[in-house]
Amino acid sequence: MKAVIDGRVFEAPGKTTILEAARRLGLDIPTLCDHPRLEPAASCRMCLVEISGRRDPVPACATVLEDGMHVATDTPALRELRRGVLEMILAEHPSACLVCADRNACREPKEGIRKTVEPTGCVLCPKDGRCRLQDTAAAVGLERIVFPEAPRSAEPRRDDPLIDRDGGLCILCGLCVRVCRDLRGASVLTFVGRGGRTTVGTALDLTLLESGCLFCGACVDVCPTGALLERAARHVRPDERKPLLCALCGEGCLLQAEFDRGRLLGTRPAPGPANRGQACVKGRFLVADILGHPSRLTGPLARRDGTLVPVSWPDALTAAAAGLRSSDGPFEAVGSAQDSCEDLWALHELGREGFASGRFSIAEPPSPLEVIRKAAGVEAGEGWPDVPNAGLAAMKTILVFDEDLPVTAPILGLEVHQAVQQGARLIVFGPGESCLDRCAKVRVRAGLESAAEFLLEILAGLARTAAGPGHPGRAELGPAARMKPEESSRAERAVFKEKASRAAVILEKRKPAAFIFGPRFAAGTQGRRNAAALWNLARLTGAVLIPVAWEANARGAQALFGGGGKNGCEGAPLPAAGSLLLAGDGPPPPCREGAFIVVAAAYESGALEAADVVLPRTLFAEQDGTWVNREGRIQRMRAAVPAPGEARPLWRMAVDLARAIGSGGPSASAAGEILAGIEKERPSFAGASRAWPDEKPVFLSATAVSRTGFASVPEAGECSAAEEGSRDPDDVHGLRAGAVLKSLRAVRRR
Amino acid sequence: MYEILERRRLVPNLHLLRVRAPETARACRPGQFIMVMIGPDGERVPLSIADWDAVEGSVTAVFLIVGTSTQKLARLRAGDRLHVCAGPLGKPSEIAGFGTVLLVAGCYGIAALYPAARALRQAGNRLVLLADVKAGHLLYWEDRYRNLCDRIVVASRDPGAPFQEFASHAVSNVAAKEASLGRVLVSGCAYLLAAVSEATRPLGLRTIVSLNPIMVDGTGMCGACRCSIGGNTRFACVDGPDFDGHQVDWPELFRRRAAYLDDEVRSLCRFEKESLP
Repeated sequence: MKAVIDGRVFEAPGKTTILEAARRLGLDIPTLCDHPRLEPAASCRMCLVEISGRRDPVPACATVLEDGMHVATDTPALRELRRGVLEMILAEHPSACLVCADRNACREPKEGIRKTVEPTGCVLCPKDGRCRLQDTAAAVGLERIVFPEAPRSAEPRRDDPLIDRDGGLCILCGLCVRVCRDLRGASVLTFVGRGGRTTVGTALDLTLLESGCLFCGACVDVCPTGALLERAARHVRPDERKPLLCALCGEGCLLQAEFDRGRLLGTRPAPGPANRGQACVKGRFLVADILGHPSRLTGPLARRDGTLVPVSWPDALTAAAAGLRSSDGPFEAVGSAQDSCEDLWALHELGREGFASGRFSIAEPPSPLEVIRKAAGVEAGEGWPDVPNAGLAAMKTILVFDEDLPVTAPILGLEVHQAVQQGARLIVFGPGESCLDRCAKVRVRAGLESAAEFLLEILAGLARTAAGPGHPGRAELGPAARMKPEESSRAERAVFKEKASRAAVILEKRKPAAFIFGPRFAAGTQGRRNAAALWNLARLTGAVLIPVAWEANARGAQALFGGGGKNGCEGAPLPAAGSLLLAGDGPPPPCREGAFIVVAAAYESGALEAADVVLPRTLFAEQDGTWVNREGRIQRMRAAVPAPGEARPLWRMAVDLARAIGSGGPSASAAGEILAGIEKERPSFAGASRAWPDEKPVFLSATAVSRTGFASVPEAGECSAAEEGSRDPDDVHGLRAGAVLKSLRAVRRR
Repeated sequence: MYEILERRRLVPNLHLLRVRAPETARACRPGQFIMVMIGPDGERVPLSIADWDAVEGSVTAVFLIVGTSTQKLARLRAGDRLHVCAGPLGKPSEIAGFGTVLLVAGCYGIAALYPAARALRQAGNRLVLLADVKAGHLLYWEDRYRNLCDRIVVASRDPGAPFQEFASHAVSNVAAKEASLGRVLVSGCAYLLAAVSEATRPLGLRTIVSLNPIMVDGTGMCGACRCSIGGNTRFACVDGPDFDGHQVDWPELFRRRAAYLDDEVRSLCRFEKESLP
């Protein structure tokens, strides 16, 4: 395909819009409603261009460049047309400052009254200086206002957490409506009213909260004006920006942190490889609140006469080393799947080499990935074929088990939604509700205790046709597929059977398929039954398995230590520990009466009550580190945010403790040295030290799982219901963010 | 405690507040201000008096939402109570027969100049109002001024407005049409006060501005509202708020007004996060 744009030849093999082609040629066409991840809407009419041979100008964003086309993007007629369009847009937007001769002189004196809530001009607007409408007015060369200003709506809506909506600044570009509906699948924002009274709002004029908004902030980020704003950050202006890797869930989103003289103001999503410009409520709005929570520990504490008192770092380390050295019984270091690879490795080394009878464990229950590996009998040393986000687009069927993806894995959630939009069939199983439900083809509302039954029902249906006598593992599958279902009422049973058979039909016809499951599916002994049944169905249908863990580095911990979980808990019980270094949140492992306990914590919590020494630790954005996300993507990040008080990274504490104890263990002066050690000892981490966000992506080196047979599914009688516990995807190193942060509590409807 | 009789949004950002304060209402004079506290631990906020009713015992002010306290103030409703409403404070405006008086007002100043306009009218002056608004729909109290003023000129960026530039550019034009212009009174944002003062300086017109520096106690004790007038330090609360606009050190005023901007913004951000619906 060859065409000419403004006299320059453009050649490209595939389909491209005129706007894309012009941008690739370095030509600047003003636009107000285009977005790289959304279908063009051509609603703002700013990108009109002329095509020779056609009578009327066409929108460049929505017109595909054709072979032999001659396009003009900047002619006097087009300039006039764009100015006219802009003048009409500005009739409903405060425009006085755009043409005022005093706008630069009054900016500084009016800096203080920018703290107002209803911008009536650019100088009072939080978006001043970063407004697409301002840029467009400059590009078009606006000189005068032609129509008197007639605001579109009355007072701004400030009745929701986190987001302000000011219809008076809205230009109806529709970006927010499209991103909410088409990309995030939430469909909260919509156009309300008709003609000149059209506004962006919600159905029945409810609040965002009442409309089911998850406050991902995507609408705020796409808004070209100040019509949608982050409330808490509207009055501040950052003077510095740095990349930050969010470790509040397993998605590994790249964010941009904004600072004012070194103080973290907030974060917004960056076009990172995993999240591609999207985030969730925590990453978009709450990172600063979580890192700067008043309950952060800022200095070491040691127990003196029964109470914890502030001490210096050397004193704390000496006390910890003395206590650990002199206690009887084995030493156990407990890390968390939220910790960076370096932190975990250093703790592991301290446990392994610092003490004769040392050991290391992960506080969280085994990750869903580990559960299914165990259930299927995949060898411990084997890798796992991770599925990158981009792989979801090819899926024709997606089966999700009780994971409220928009909450627990938001980026995966929107990839699933995208896949569904492109024709994938969605089957959702679980008792909870999610905004994905409305696009599900089959929705099975049942508890996870019957997940295995559902899977076995499908298996029984498929096994008759798909797994013929020659199918590998047919013999193992047989007894599993013939397993008796649980007792239930006939009507329920019929619905269940009907849904299972519909799901079976979809799975049989529409391949490839992806099965998504999380910690709830894999919890407890019942999780093993679920996992085994899911494994069998995946073997039978060739589906890919996507385990979703809630912790930031669950995948990394699994790759480092074969799953973490309570190491050694299975099999013979280990002798109770005599001393502990607790860095993970959760119930401590069994330990002797009067055991010496060192707690490395970020927040004040109940865990401190039993501590003999408390060491304040940094969190993800405050330290150099490496995390592996759900996709198996290794991501290294430098510290972006200053550490609170005297807090230190966990890996450094492990190094310092090893030195204070005077035995073997980790020794490093930078996180990178530890990572180099990991690379040497764990082949799957090859290339990890190059895994910076702006470099070529590095994934855990995956190997195809060699096990191809079916797993034996434990009888229902052998299984107990999942120990629900008090786990919450919003917990951050002991901070119950979903409970203590008022806005998150509101967003989660608690 | 002072009962709020009325609180409503006049135009975007500007709210009218009518408070029952009988003793203040009995003593009010044009150009003075009240000092309000929303709660026992809130800051003190100075508000220009826009009207009063000695019979009802009420004082009216129009305020701009410009930070945490004014946001809190704008959430109050009739029946709520203010912790403090002290006043009237400050020296009253000079009211005499000046011939013709040009009133230049913008923002909250449109309301703040109203008592002076009423008194000047009673003193037999011809009145011209030059109101600066960004757009026509932001103008308020035009009806009130229509009864007092001989001429109303609106400077707005709307097409068709007599002046489409900032009010300071319109001053000389308006002044040229007035034969016996004896005085210019300015009230509104600090930039308007400064710009109009600079515009009238070459015309030799005596220009009185109602100064609005940061104020804490409003009674001359703290000195937060100090400003330089003709090289001398003056307190806007007790020596003003009216001053000769040609004598004011404007750059210093702008700097002092921004002295606590960081803290103000920080406080506001915290308030915005914590005050959930």
